[in-house]
Amino acid sequence: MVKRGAMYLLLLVVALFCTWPILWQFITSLKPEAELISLPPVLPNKPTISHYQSVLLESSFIAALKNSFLVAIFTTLISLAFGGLAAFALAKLNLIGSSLFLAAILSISMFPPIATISPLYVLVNSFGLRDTVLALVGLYSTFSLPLSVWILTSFFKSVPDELLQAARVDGCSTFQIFYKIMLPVCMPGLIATTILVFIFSWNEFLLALTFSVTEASRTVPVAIALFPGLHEVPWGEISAASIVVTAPIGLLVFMFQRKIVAGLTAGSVKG
Amino acid sequence: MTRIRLNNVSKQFAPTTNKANSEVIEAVRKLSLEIQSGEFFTFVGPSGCGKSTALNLIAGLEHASSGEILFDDNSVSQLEPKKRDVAMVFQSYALYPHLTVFDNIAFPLQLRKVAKPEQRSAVGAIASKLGLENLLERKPKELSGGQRQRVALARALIRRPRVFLMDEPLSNLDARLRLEMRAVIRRIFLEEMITTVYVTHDQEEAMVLSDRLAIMRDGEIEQCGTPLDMYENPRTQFVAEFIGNPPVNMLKADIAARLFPALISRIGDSKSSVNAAIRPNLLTAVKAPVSGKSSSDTAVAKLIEMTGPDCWVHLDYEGVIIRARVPSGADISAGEHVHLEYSLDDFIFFENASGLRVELTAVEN
Repeated sequence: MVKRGAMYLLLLVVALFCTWPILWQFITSLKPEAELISLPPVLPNKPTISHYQSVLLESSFIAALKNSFLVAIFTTLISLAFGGLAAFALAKLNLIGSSLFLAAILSISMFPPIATISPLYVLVNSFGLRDTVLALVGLYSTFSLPLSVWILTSFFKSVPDELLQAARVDGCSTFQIFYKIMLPVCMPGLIATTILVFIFSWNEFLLALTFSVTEASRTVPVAIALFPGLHEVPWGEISAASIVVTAPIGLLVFMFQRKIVAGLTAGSVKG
Repeated sequence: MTRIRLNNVSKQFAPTTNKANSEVIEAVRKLSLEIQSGEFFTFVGPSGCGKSTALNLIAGLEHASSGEILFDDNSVSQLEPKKRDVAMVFQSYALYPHLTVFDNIAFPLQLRKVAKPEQRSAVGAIASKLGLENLLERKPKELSGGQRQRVALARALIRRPRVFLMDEPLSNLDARLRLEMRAVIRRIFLEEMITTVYVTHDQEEAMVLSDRLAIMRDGEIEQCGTPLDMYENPRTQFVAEFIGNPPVNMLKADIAARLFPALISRIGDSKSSVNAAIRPNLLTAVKAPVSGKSSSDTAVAKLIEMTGPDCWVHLDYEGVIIRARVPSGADISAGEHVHLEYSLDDFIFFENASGLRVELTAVEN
C-alpha cells in the first residue's frame, strides 16, 4: 500500500511539474490587470475574462488564427497524401534502395531550419510568394514530410505481407491495396502522424516570422510574439492568447487518444 | 474445372542486399508438373524446400524466372493473381482486421462490383455451409482460430475460383481442431470439385487430403504420386523417410544384416553401399521368437509409446534406434531384451550415395 501511495505521489508531482507552466498561464489569463505582477495572490481575487475579450475582439489575432488553421490543415493533408504513398512504396513495394532512400530522408530532416533559411528566403522571394499562406504550407510540408514518411513507413512495415497478398489474390490492384487495406489497418499511425504534423505546423515560429510580413500570412505564434508594445508587456493578453491557441491541439489529442491506443491490427493474424 | 501445367518453371531470388556474401537463391528448379482438373494436389516437404514458392508461382504472387505456367491451355505466366482467377487461404488466415466477417467474405465480390443482394445471398450460402451464420457481424479479433480459418475458407470460396490454393492453412490450429478442419476442407473440396493445390509440411495431412502429392526437396520434386504409392513405393530414401508415422527404420546394411540375419541373402556383397528400410508397423516385437517366422537378434527396449490403438517400442541395437510395433497383449517394458518378427519381403533398399531405390533380389546360393 505504502509503495502504491508513494508511486501515486510521484506521478502527481511529475504531472504537476509538467502542467505547471500551462496552469500558471491559465491563472494569469484570468487575473485582473492590477494583480498581474504581484505575488500573492497566487489565485486571482476577482477572476476576469477581459483579457480573452480583448484578444478575441482583436481582428489581427483572428486573422492569425485563420492563417494558422489554413497552414496547419493544408500541411497535414499534403504530408499525409504524399507521405502515405511514399511510405507504402518504401515499406511494401520492394523498391531497390529503399533503405538508402529512408536514410537520405532522415538526414535531410536533420538540417536545422535556421541553416536553410537564407536560401529559402531567396527562393520564396523569387517565386513571389513572400507573405503568403501558400509559402508557409510549402515550406512546412518539406519539413514535415520526412517525419510522416518515417512514421508511416514503420507502421506500414508492421502490416503482415500475407494480408496484402490476400488482398492481391482477392482482386485488388496495388492502389486498392493501399486505400482499402493499408490505410484502414494503419489508422492509428495515420492519426499519430496527423497530430504530430498538425502540432508542428501550428507551433512553428522561425519560418513564420521570416516569411510573414503582414496579417495576410501571419500565424498565431508570430502574432503573440508581436503583442508586447514599446512600453509595456501585456501579460494578460499573451496568456489568454496562448490558452486560446493551445485549445485546438488539446482537443485534437483528446479526440483521437483512444484511436491511437486501440490496436487495430489485433486479430488480423494469430497472435 | 481447370487443369494446371508447369513447364520447366524456375524461380530465383536475388540475394538480399544487407548480407555481403549471399548468393542467388534458387527456390524452385525446373519444375514440370501437371495437375488434373478437379484434383486435390499437395506439395509437401520440409521447410525451405520451395513448396510455398511453387504455390505463389501458381497464384501469381511471384513471377517465374523461367518456364511457363498454363491453366488449361492458356499461359498465365505473365498474369496478375486477379486475372488468373485464383483464390488462396493463408497460414495466418490474413483476414482484414478492420472489416466484419461479412465484409471479409464479401470482399472479393465487392471488388468485382457484384450487386448487393447477390452478395448477401452468396455470403449467406457459404456462411451456412461453414457454420458462420451467427458470426457475420463480428470482427476477426473476436473469433477463435478455427472460426478465423473458416472465414478465410469462405472468403476464398465465395467467388468459385478456377483454382483454389492453400498455404499451410492448418498449421496455426491446435491438434484437435486441425483434424476437424482437415475433414471440413476435404468435404468442401468434394462438394465444389475445384482444382485445389495445397501446401503443407505435415506428411499425414498431405496423405489424408490429397488425390496426388509431390514431395519437394531443395526446389525440386523428389517424387510425385498417389499417397498410397508414395508410402508403398518410395523412389528415394528421402521420400521413404519423409512419409509415414512413426518414421521408417533406415539402417546401414551391415547393422541390418546382423539384426535381421535373413537379410544377408539379399544384401550379399553390397553391405557398405546400401541402406535397408522397413516400416515400424511391419516389425513385431516379441519376447521369445516363435518358430516358423523370421526372427531377429535381440535388442534392448528403451521406450514404450502407447498411442491407444497402437503401441510402439523404441529399441536400441548397437547404438541405433529401431521402432517396432508391440502386439496387443504383449507385455513388454523398458529394459527388456526382445526379438523382432519380420518378413524379408517387407524390406526395401536404397543406394547409399545417390539415395535411390535399388532392387535386391535373393542371392543364389
